[in-house]
Amino acid sequence: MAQLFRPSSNTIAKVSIVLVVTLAASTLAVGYMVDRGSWITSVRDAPEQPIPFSHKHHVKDDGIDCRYCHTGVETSHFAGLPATETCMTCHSQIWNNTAITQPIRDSWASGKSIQWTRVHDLPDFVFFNHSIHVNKGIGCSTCHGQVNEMPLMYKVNTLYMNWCIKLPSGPGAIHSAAFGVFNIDYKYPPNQAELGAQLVKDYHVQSLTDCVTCHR
Amino acid sequence: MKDDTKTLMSALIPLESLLDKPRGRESISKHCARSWRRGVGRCFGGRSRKPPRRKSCVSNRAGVSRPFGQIPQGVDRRNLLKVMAASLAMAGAAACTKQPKELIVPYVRQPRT
Repeated sequence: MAQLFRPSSNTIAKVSIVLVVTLAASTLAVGYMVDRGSWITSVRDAPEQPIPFSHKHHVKDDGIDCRYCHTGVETSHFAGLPATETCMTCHSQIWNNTAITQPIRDSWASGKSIQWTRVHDLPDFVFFNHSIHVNKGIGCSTCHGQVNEMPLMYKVNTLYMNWCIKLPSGPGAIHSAAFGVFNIDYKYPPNQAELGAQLVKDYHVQSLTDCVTCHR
Repeated sequence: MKDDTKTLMSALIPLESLLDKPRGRESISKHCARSWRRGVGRCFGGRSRKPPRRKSCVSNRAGVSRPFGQIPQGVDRRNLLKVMAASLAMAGAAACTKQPKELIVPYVRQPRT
């Protein structure tokens, strides 16, 4: 009786095993990269806004403090977005005749809010409180990055749970004194290890990683 | 709206047919596939030439006799599980999506609190 398989079948079998494994691995790898890539996470992706507001200009060039606009950050869960009124404190006087600031004047005249697109948008099943973090020495730039270098707002971190949990909450690795919190350019001093540990003690920082802390 | 849902549901799982007589296994699965296609076609606005016949998607294994007085067949367990598994899988697939764009709308005049 003739052989069912030719000798070349051995090669075909081996090659197909390798191909199947490679294909499966690369499918998984591509899936992972897409999932963690900026298309899904929106990291470094500046969405279109009604006004191309530049944090770089307002924070770095003009030296405006974060809290001038984000007034709720020290007292509330929500940092807050400036009302049109806040923009108009300056822009009724300066740059009050340019097309780029027209939406501000339209909003002020019509009483209709400016509709911004959220850049840092946690899912609705996450409870996050800005004030507790700010008051315990976590600087803005820890999560939001160097906003004073962003002509258009984008996020530098995924704000995913695994990113959040992995932030070094150990012996005060990221805690800074009050003056450092709102200083975007704050650099940790060389003695951050001791200083951080001391701050954690002084602020009575608790490392709350129970599920219910954020998922209520 | 409510009526539509009802029609769709009865096309997918013809509840009336629970009362039908049991049928042979093969013909049942063929019939189920047919009525499923018809149901889907109707879902997407396709025309069905004639109204679907009310036939059973419910089976008792043909030839298995039951003792007298036992409650007769219900929905076929396998088919029910198939539909449930497919629904679960599709519900899971719906989660694989990008976080939708959201607006943030501040006041025009900040209220004084």
